[in-house]
Amino acid sequence: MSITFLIVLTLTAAATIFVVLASILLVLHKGTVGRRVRRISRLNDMYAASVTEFLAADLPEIPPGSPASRAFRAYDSLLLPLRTGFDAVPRRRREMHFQALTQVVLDFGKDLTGESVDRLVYLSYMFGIVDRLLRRLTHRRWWVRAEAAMDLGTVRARRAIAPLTAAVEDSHPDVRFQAIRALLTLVGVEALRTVFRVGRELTTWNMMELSVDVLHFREDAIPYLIEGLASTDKSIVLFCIEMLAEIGFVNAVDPLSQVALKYPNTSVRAKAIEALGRLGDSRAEGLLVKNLSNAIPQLRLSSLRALARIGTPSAVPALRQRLADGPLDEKIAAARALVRAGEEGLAVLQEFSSSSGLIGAAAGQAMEEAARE
Amino acid sequence: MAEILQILFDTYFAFTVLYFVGVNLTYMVLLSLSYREIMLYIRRSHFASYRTVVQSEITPPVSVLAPAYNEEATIFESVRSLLKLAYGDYEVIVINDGSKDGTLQRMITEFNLKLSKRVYVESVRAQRVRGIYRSQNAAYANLVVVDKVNGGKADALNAGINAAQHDFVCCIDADSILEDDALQKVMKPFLEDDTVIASGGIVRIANGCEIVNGRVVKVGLSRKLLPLFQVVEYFRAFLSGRMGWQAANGLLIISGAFGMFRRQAVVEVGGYNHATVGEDMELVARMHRYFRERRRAYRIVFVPDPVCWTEAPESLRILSRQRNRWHRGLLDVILMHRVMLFNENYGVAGTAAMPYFLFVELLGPVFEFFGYISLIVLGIMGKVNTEMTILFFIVALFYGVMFSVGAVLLEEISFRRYPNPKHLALLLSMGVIENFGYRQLTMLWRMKAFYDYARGKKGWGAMQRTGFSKPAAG
Amino acid sequence: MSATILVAEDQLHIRSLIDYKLRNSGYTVVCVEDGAAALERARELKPNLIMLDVMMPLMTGFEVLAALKADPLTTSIPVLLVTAQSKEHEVLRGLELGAEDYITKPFSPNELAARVKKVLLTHGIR
Repeated sequence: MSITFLIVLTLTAAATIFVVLASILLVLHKGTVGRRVRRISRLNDMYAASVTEFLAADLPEIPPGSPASRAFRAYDSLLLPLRTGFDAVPRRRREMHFQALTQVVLDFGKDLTGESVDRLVYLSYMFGIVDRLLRRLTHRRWWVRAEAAMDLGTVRARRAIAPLTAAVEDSHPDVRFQAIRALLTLVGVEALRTVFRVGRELTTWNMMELSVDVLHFREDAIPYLIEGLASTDKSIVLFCIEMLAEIGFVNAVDPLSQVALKYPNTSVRAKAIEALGRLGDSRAEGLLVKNLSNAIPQLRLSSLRALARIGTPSAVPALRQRLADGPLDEKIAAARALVRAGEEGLAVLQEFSSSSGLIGAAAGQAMEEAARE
Repeated sequence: MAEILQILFDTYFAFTVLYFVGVNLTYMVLLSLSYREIMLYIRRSHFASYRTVVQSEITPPVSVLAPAYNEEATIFESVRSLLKLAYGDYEVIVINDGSKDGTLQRMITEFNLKLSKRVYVESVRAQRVRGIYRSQNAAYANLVVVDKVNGGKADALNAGINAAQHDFVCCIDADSILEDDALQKVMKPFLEDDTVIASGGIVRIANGCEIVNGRVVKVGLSRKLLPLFQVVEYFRAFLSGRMGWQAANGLLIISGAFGMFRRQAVVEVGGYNHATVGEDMELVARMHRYFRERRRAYRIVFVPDPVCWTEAPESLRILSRQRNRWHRGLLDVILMHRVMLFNENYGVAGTAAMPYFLFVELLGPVFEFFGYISLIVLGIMGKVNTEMTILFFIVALFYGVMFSVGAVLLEEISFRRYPNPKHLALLLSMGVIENFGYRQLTMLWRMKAFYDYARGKKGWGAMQRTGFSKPAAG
Repeated sequence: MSATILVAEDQLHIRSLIDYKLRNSGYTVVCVEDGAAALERARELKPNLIMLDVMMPLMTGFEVLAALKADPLTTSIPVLLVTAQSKEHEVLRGLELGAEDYITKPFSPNELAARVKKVLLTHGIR
């Protein structure tokens, strides 16, 4: 038997034993994990019940204007059972209990608002949850930092505002983004100023997440969004345009028109044009109709889509021309815009619906869609 | 004379051993790459608040393309569950590929369909479209049904692409069960990187799972052997295979059961090729070629989490036909795109992925088969070399066991869709057992595929479907 | 005789909170974890008010609502929907399907109790 062969055989035997052991261990581990998960689940249930009592217990009315300490004293008395229970937990179990309590607090934090949240925040401070999260915010692993940022927002810890503002410039994009969202929860709409000033490279995914938060603020966000239009980062500008269009603040027409005319990047201008359409203000019509004959197809298409959102009888001649001469996607968009352009628009569509080819098809489709509504 | 034969077989046998050592090294690399990628994905996905994003108003609209052929029994349930996904703005385009049964009629009745004037342009080649239908029922407003002359799956998908009007198309099988958040998850890469042109999701085996109302309610394992082997195979292929390749932008295949594409990119490369049964892989290979040849930045990714559940064949006959088709498709693709082999111009896809598919996936069964033959011949001649034989079995079968087990462990460490420890134990044992019988069986089927290909066999063969959705109770 | 409220909510902590709060306010509360159970118990108990979470697995709140309104046994019971964030069309859809009122998450337990009281009052129950 050659040496090589013996080596291979030994290695194989070793590898086999290793894999077999690992598999058995993993199956056993899964069983233990199951038990552990059930134990943690029971702890969660227990703390859910105690925290529920704490949150839902009726308190005597505290007159507005009284110092916060009055409320805190009331909370302290409510927290007494939880406190004593927690202090009685043996040392080696304390970590598990702490994590269960933290999880329960986070679960409630996501779904509650109002005075209950005040109680929850108080609990988080008193039991050291906030402190631990603040420590984890400077951990060396990015996912720990990101989770800490996320949780600090959920827990509404105002003490975290300064460290979170620093975290907005973290090296990892996920940490930055979680810090942004947390700040929006903690500070409210004014956080947008920081976000737009410091933020960079928002992906479309980030924008989608952020849009849900920003739209909550509705009109309050507008001054900050308009400020954000001046950002040097393209993604921020795109985001602000989208939000302004979504919220529908008509006085955004002027700043948006500026962007549509002057911004050096075509896709940003196209987006501004589209946004003008969605705002539906007649001041924008002139700009939109003018752009129907722009040399850049992206801008023409955006203008067509914008006009489809608002009815513009004055645009009918230009729309008719696009329907007749443009490529397919412009034909479809022009037809949809004509549907909304009043009597003259419909007349043009009628006229074209009997033509053969793409023009007729686009016209026909648009009319059918209109009939469906 | 006998001596020459012996030398020949001996050499071939030794070659086979070396071959398998090479294969195992490749698997090891893939497995480690996959592990790293999966861990990264899981960490990042913890922070991707899918629930929030789905509420966003700026979700890009998607066209889901579902080709259907002779699926009268299940078409209503399948389409209905497709219409209930948790995604903002999307349309479902069902393409009736000239079914000979009542598939179209059933849809017309159940969904209250009427002929529509929707624009249809032949951006890519497809058979004649007989009509496009939409529902008069507001609940089914995002359903579009395209009825066309039969042309095969690739052709049907092309027709779907022509009828789609959104920027993204998701190509699935009509009976795929998509999880609620599958669309969002498979869209995410596009939303984080503009250069992504295609992304594939993982396909899991639904046999043995409890399915109610078109949703997988409880994950389970089948009691039959065949589907169990396939579960392990799919883990190997998807989790430890594709995940690894995508790390190097060398992913050559996106499953036809679940893939998302930028419509513009698909149209640019010419749509699906209907002259091949390996149309899913062929499209992706062609995309690599097209973009590389024009030196345009692109990425093709694999997302291990958005899940598509599919029914796996439970009978040997249907399974063999499926594997036969897969192998013929693979052969087609490699022949069609052989210019990519070892060609630096095609990046990792050309230098590593294509050769892998050629030497490991395509020719693997051949080498192994002749390895067994050599062993038998040498045995008959009485000149078996014990060392070599043991080495052969070690590298061929034993390490096969390792990698199957490794794939199952990868699943266990990452997604843990099978929460019961008994299931884990079962899958691990399957990973071992499959190398002693099932693997050899698939090897034979794939050998036959070469023969069939040489004979000029094209086409799909009958795939019998058993409708597997249970109607909701009450 | 206190009013009976049926609460359908899949998340434990929310369920226990609503349960506790409404109990404190003097109602009899029955909790279920999913839509199918909600339908069953609604038919059985005929509660004075049903509170439905929209985002439940298996059967969404909307599906349950539609089923409740379609069944003559339960159609007259007022339904309060708990929706996530204020997605307008979700709220509208709920009201169209026949929900009496809605409350969005994140919610305040005090407000929830007040809404419940209001709905019950309009139906002549204290």
